[in-house]
Amino acid sequence: MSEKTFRQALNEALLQEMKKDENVIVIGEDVAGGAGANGEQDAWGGPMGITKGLMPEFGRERVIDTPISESAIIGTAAGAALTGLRPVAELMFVDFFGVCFDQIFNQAAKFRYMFGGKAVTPLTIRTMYGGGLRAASQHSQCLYPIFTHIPGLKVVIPSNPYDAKGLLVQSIRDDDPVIFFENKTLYDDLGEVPDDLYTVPFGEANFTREGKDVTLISMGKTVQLCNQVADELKKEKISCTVLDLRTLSPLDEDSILEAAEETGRVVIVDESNPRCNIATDISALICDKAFSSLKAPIKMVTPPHTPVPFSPTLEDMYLPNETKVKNAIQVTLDN
Amino acid sequence: MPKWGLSMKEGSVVSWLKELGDEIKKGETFVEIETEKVINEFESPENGILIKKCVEKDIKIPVGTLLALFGPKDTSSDDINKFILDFNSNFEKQAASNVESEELTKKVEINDININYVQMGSEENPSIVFIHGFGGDLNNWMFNQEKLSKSFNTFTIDLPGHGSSSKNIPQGDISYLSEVVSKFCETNDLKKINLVGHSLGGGICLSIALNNMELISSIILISPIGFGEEIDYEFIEEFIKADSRKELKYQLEKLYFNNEILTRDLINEVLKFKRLDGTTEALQKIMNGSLLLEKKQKEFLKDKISNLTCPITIIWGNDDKIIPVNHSKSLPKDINIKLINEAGHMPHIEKPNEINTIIQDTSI
Repeated sequence: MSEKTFRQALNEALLQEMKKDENVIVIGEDVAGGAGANGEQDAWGGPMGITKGLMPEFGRERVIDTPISESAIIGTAAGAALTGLRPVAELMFVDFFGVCFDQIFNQAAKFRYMFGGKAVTPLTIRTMYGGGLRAASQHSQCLYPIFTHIPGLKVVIPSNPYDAKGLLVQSIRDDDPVIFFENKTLYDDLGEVPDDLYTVPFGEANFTREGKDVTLISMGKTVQLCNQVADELKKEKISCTVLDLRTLSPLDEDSILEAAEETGRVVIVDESNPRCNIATDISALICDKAFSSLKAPIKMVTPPHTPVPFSPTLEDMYLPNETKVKNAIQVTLDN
Repeated sequence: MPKWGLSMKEGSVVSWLKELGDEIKKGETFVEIETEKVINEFESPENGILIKKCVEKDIKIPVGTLLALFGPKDTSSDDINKFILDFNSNFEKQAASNVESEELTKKVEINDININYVQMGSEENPSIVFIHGFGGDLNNWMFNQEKLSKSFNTFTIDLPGHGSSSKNIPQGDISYLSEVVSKFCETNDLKKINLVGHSLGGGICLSIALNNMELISSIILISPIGFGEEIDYEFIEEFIKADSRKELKYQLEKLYFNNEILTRDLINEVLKFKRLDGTTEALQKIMNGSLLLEKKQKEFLKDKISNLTCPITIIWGNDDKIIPVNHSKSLPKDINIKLINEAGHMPHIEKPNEINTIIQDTSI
């Protein structure tokens, strides 16, 4: 066990699982870099270096650089999955899903169901999401609600290096299409990661803090934010439970309801835009199944219903932050 | 703030159990501390009167931070404040020189598998080798190793199939496990060894001693296997099967007299261990090879202890729910039996000071 970055954890998951199972392949734009040219090979290892070192180890038959065509990348991967491989395809920014969504939601997501269980599609799609890097409206979105909406897709969103490696290994071993969301600002975060291969199951949320006053429900980057707020509020004698959802589909309903019933006050912190997002989905679930435990309306901390700004000042105002979370908590306590 | 275990970097005060002006005896608990892994009461290392509580409750502070001051009742607040200032200015410098836990953890290859271990203490001192029980790891000794490393050359190891040691083990029987641990001692050139073993580890200690009598100075067995038929077989089987926090918590609670010691993080650590590739298979091999035969204990070692020439001490928690404390009865008179009150199957975790005193006094 040693401290590794989120990036290293993902790289290790791929390297070790590809060693274990020869059917695992990696496919995407510059996942190695340098294909078809005489210059440096494995120059990139992906735009953030996640897949670096894989091509020298496994060759270009298993680590495939593609043209800039998401529909080709995902279509190829979906077909490869149907016919026996376990592809890990990269959709570089989730913002680009528009050009390949049919392959994902109408093809890959439906095969098992429409072929009566006779087909499996063990496809993993890794994709970056999230704002904070001044990457502007078309490179900062959090579109996981759209994928969560589709039956047949699994949606995974790790918040730390340990979960990143375990959930990616689980995603590769899962026989269904999995969309693996990586927050682009988390890659340098450190955490204890075992050297061996291991898994983290889907549908199991993680309690990162336990308290009796307020429950904070979070996913991906917002988990860190909620932990920070919880630790600060402890000094003011307010104890918070923090739940890290880890997978949005399948969803750990039992833990959500347990966390809500424990405190009766819920604040959901979701970086995706407010209409039809995960916060609204969970809010409805809690109202439906744990209404009598609630002591206050459920508060949701989300950005406004606008594109992600490019201006740094505006982007900082757009994103969830400590003040917004604390204000929401206060409203539930004042009730 | 004490350091409990290698990875502990900070802790917080949950509650003060004594007030200013109270007289505190060495070994008496005076403050309850929470770390990421455990909540436990801190036993005072000295006699004295509590004259200052130096930290607020519920705030995380680094290991080594000034926690409380003992001193004469009439010490002036000026003197107290001066002491605190002096301490803190030196403390900043010291914090920088703390050895990281990763540097202390080492690996060695024995019989084609990797054994993870921690060595603490001077090589000139007599050695103690600590062997944990089924499903545990070297962190089980977090309240014991550092304390005893002041006078002994201490080694804690992760057994095959456990902790960070290799999981793909060829066999799970006691003779295999003892062979690996013996070779480990050989690799480290240990000659006069004091063995401390818990539960399954106790059985392993006995087996090593029986085969290497000339190397062993003393044995301390904590709630060992092999002294009777009865064992909570359901605990072992369900521990292996448990795959969620809830299921695991239910089983782990059986280990303790006061299960408040079980924090969310401690349960998570065990869950993470069980999710490593190969762990379930390794645990099953060991369960079938060393522990259980048809819902009863597989090994019977009690009648072999009369063959041993070294001093033997057996420690048992009076409230052990896994292996009954009455297994410590009807033993030859020259064996030292120590029963611990308010302790379950893990007295070295629940009552570390008592256990450390026994180990300190018994080891040669």
